[in-house]
Amino acid sequence: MSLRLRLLVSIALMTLAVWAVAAILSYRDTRQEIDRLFDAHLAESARAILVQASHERREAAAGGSLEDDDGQGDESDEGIDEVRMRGALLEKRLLFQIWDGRGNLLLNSRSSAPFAKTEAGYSLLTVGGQELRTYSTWNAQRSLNVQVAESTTSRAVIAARSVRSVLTPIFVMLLPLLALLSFVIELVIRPIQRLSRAIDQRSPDDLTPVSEGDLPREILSTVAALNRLFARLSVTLERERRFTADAAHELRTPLAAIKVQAQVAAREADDALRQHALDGVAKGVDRVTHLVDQLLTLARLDPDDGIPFADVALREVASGVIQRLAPEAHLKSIELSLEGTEDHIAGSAPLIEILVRNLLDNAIRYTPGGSSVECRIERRDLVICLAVVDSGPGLPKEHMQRLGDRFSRLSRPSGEGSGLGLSIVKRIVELHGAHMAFESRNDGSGLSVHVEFPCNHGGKAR
Amino acid sequence: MRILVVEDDLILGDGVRAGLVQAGFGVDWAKTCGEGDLALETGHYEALVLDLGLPDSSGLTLLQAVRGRKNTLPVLILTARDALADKVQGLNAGADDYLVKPFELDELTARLRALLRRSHQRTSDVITRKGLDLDPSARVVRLNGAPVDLPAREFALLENLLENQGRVLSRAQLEQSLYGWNSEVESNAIEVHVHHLRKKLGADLIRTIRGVGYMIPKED
Repeated sequence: MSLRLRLLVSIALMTLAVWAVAAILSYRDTRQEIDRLFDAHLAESARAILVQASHERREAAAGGSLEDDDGQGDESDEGIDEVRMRGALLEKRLLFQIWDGRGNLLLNSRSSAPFAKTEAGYSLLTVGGQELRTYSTWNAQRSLNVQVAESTTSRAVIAARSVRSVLTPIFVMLLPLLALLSFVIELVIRPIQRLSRAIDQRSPDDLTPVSEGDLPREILSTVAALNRLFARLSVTLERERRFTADAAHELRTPLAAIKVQAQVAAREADDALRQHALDGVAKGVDRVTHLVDQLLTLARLDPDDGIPFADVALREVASGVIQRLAPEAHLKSIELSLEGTEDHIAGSAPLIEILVRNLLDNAIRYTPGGSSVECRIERRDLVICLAVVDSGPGLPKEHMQRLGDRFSRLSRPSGEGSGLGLSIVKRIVELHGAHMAFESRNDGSGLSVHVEFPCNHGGKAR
Repeated sequence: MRILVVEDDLILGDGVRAGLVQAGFGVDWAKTCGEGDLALETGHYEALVLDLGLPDSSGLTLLQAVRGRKNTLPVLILTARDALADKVQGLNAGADDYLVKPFELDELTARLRALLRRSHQRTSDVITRKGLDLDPSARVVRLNGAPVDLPAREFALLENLLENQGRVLSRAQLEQSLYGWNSEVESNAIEVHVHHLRKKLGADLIRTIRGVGYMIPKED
């Protein structure tokens, strides 16, 4: 449901509800006002009739019954008055009854059937399904009682009419009001629409920030968040782009080597030299394979989707890796050793294995034959430290910070390593919230790599 | 024709060296900028094949150092980067040509020959002199139109002397241009090659400058 429709419907409904309440209140008010006015009028009419009736009664006491007065010359004035009054009363739809002190009905207005006698003052009666408002009053001697009645229907009709006259123009205005609202909403959401159009029309690699120009304050925070996302994305994308380019270039050198060696072999007449060139081809293919494997490992580590962590027995993992690397180390007369605690860390066992293997692989590769490579696991305060220490030539300080950059082989000769091993290690270290440091001995020889994992509170040191 | 190859990749460097030796060049192979620089200062080379991605510093640094010494040595760059900017940067730094990895060995030798031709200010690859034609790329020598069968070393020796007509080349220079660092050269190897060449091409082509070396005099 669009924002505009939602606004329109809710505003229309709320307006109607407010009007309904206003109409009800206004009807009640009007009705009370009308009641008071009509009641006052009713009482006034009753008193007027009482005065008239008392007068006639006195006349009658002097010369006969009230009914017998009709047609008598002396009382013709009063008779005409009475008729006039009756006409006026009829016009106002007033009914009346006159009672004497003993409760005998003396007179009732001709247009109606007699209705019940009521106490003095106002009361409500229902006669023949019609509600009547009555007023009854006595003369001072309590010998005459006049009762006036009036249908309440007319009051309701008048009250309703007055409320209607107020509501009608409002209802007439409802449609124009909605149209106006729609227009205003359109104006208000136009910047949002412009924003969404601008974002829609972007090319997928356009990550420049969205202009915050004339946007309302309410959306600014969203746009700012969007721009921050764009900034992060462009950093990631740039890194990926550079990595892809680097990887492609990195593959070109071993491919060139394979091609050149193959061409040399194809035209070499000397058997030994041809065999040498063919060995070069095979070595080149091994290199490319290793590089591709490493790239795939790195690619699998790159997405930020969570990697399931479990309890990892560091020593067990390292021991397994050392068993597998031992033959290779033996060929180079390198002594591999493992010592340390049996601390556990929280992590992914397959990743930790890749990490340990890469570190040991590097150490074996860059350590001259006849020396040693040591893997140590230590518990220090709140961290568990995995250290791989070699007795190789070490690294100058200025090179240490470039360690772990992708494809950086530093001054070590290439032809073997892909330059990706430490990148992989670095990524795994990041994924485990661990910390990695390099150091050489004071004389600059040997390289030790320390990876400090946060303590796993679940696993205990034994 | 001695060429210095500076390439850190062991397999590629080995292949390029072998390929260029097959093509009749004498090749020295340096694996770092430092080694390359040292070789350039101590030896004489006709051309330099330079990889840009070297471990100690960029090949461009070495190139700039070479050009800074007013050395007009022909330089061919091997690069893994094929973006236009990378090529332009290499050429601006003073390279004469470039090849993007992976490349054809034939293209590498052909481009090297073209660079050498230009540096000797010749328009054709074929060196001609009094009924003698030497075609370095086809590796053919013709005497009065008839092909003469020459082993690689004799061919290279003749090519070197013909490239430098009128100049005396010492035995050491000739040895250097024929053999890389690692080859063991017998003390009389050059004399033996010259002897064979004289037998095949006529005794008066190559003159011996006693105590100095050999030369092919310029044509009148």
